[in-house]
Amino acid sequence: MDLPKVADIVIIGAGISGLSVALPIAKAGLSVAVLDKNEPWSDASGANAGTLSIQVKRAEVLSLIYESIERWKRMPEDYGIEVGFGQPGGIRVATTEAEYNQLEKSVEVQKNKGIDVRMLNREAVRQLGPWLGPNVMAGSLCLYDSYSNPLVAGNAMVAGARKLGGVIAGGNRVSEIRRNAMSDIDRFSIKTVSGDIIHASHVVNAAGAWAGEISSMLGVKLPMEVDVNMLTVTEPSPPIFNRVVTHVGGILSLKQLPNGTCLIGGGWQGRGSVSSGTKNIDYERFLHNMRVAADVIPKIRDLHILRTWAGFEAVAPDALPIMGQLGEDDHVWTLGCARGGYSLAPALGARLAEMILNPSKRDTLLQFSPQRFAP
Amino acid sequence: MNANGQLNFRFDGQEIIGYAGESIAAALIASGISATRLSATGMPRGYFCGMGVCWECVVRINGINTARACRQVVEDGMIVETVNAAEKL
Amino acid sequence: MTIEEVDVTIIGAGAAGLSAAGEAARMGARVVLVDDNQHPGGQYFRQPSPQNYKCKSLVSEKDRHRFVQLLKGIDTPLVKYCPGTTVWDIHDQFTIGLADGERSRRIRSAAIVISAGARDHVYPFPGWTLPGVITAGGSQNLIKGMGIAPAAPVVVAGNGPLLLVAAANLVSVGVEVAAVVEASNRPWNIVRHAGKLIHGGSNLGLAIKYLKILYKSKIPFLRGYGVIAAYGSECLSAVDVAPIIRNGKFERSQARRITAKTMVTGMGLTPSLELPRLLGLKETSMPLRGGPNIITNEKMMSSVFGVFVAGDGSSIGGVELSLVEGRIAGINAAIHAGIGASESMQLSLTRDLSAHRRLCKFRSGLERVFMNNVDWYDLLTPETIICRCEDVTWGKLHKCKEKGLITPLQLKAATRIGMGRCQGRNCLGTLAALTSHEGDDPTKEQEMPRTRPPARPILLSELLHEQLPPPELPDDPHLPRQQD
Repeated sequence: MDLPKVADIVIIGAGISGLSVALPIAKAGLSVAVLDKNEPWSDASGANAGTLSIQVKRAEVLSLIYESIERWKRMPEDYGIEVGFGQPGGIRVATTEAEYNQLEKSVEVQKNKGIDVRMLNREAVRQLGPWLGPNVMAGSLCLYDSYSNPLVAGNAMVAGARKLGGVIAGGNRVSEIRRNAMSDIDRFSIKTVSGDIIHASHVVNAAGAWAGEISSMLGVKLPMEVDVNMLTVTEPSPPIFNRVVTHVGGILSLKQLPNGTCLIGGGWQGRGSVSSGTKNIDYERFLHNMRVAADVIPKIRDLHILRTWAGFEAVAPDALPIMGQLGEDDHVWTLGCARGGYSLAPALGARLAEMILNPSKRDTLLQFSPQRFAP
Repeated sequence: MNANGQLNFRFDGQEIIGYAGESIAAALIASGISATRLSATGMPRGYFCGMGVCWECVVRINGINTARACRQVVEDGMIVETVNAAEKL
Repeated sequence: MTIEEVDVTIIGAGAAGLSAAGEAARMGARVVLVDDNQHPGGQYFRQPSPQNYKCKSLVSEKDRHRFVQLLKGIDTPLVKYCPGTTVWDIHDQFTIGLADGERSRRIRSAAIVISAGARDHVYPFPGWTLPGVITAGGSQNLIKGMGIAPAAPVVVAGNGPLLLVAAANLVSVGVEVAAVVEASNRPWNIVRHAGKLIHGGSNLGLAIKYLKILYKSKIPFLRGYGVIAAYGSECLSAVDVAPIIRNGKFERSQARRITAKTMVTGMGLTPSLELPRLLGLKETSMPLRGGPNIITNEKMMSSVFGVFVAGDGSSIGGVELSLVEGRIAGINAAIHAGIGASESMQLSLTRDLSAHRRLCKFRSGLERVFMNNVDWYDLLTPETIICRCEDVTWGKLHKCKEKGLITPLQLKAATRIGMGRCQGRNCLGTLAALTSHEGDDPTKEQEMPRTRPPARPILLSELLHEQLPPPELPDDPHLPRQQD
């Protein structure tokens, strides 16, 4: 693919974060190019269960999650793309006394933040989910818990950005970023490994597991750890359960997609590293993941597992999103981070786009600013 | 099952004769039945590779799990049903 | 909760696996022999199982004897034979994940022999998904394994020696064969490659026997023809055959219809590659041997140290080669595991290597006899199913390509091709062929969906019983990450 010589904004990383910034920028009429060293959506976004759950979010991000889910829901309307959105509501389960207490506390915190969530005891949760296993002691219900289909959403968002004139170029690893402080239009010269150079006035680092690497190219330190997240999918089945199921300990996500397949996640760690490029499942953790799933919804035991996969996801030390100006230069930005990256990206991406286009908005959401890591 | 190893099982409600050691697919083909499932768009499908790699012959066993008819051995009283992949949630 | 340690794990108890196990055990190695099926023998030595034989047995005295010898070879305390067991994962060097339908367990092995065999290579064509269209292997399993005859009349159509074997066996058990349709049309190749075919030994005798059966039966034998479409509503009722012309395409104007309730088809064999791909073994493309084959050295070792591949599962070669390759692999795997080879074993190995060379010559001749330049993809219409599990048609793939989705991974995400129960076995070969030469660089190989565990589908319930240490839980999303 031929890269343009100039773009208003260059975004590095074509995962959910990069694309969530690209879409509103392109819609606002600016030229945007998104570069990715691989195929768009190759890592965290693709090794994702697609859960858009309000209930599992930390208090710090609750204010944004409703908005983000709404944005997911409105993607067909806003951008003419199908992302496989469903809003079946979600049940978050507890299977021990300790978990029950944890769940109760969590529900209180959420209610205080205005979240529409309800605590359900053993009988009530079973009325709603007769498919729940006998070890489920309680659950909380939020009717707004949703999902999108990661297998579909990536291609859709790429197509949506292209329709608006955005350039999404996979297979273009960035090797160098030069700054020409004098100019505004080619403030940055971004070079790829194949020697192409693209000039831009703003750069957005949305490189996920490689955000630290890109950040170094920009002269800023970004402390990120990289996890290897595992996912599993089963054969299609007649309906077994009809809610997005999560766990108060964060160790499980379960959903049955419209095609009948069941997607099992939970953040269990595979094996691998960014440096070696290997991302494999871990045998024992995979089995544990399956056991938690089967304990919560016993009927899935009778399904064949068809596929597992793993992807790199970057996590900030405080496990909160990183969003905002990156470093001293107010033309350099960043967005990313697991633990809600997928669900929050549409909202955070739109806000970041707003910040880039409108300097008066740059004093908002400072709690997520990467400045918090500055020494 | 009688002394000859002959037994009976049901396929979509129909009683079929089988023999000990026979696969469901073989017993059905012997009874003239070649279609055992409906595909994602409702096409009839059945035994193809005979060695368990194509997964075309999938059927449901006793209302529980799916199994390949070419590998699952018939049992007396077994309930075998078509898997309809076209039925969406 | 200790994981069993063995010297050599042999995956697949067909011709190659049984001989590998026998040799490794002869050397004194502790062997685990794993096989998916309930009975040993793989495809070639498929044992008849039902009590009621509807067809005469088709096993020759020679094969019966050979099989008995192979079974004797594994009848030793050194070989732990595990039937009905699937290998679904291999990691580290080498921990092997097994599942037997009820529970999973792991074994640790110093060396591995993958002898998982091959499957029929079938190119998609209109109507190929109709019930009644089966592979040559499928026909053989019905007759030889189950003692059941497929519904008549039968048309046998495709390419390669297996089809002739399938046709001859159908005739031998009295099934009405309406026609044998073989795509290759160069009988003079037999003369041309006679020098190689001479090395076939008993294979030649077999070939002559099968050809005699077919000749005597007076069944129409169409050479240089192919089935261009299969018809039927609930199941097969007829096929159309047409001649193949000079450029490898089909002359549809000369098509004629043949009534058939069963079509036995196949265009040769292709190695089953899930485990090699799980391990990242280097492949090479061999169009005459079903496409991707595994590269091995004279020890039958692959590109991964300690992983040996033998038989049709490495490179298509037939039962004689499988037996020899199995022996070579078994001996070398045991040596790799640290077992010394005695002088007599060394001698045995030398004889096997010499047999291997001779059989390779025969193979080289045989595959050239059946060589053809048929453009099987000429048969595709927009309605032809490419992905059987997800009903993805050639037309749908084409539409996606027109929208700019041209790589295998993009097409997979857009259409779900390769995401069904067969894990891509039916369709990824076609997908690779249809997406090669796309994209910017025509010489660059397209990235295909990676093979990941489980190598074959397993029930979730099988993973619930193995004894495990307590879990390392994922991070609680409500807490900052633990500092190491």
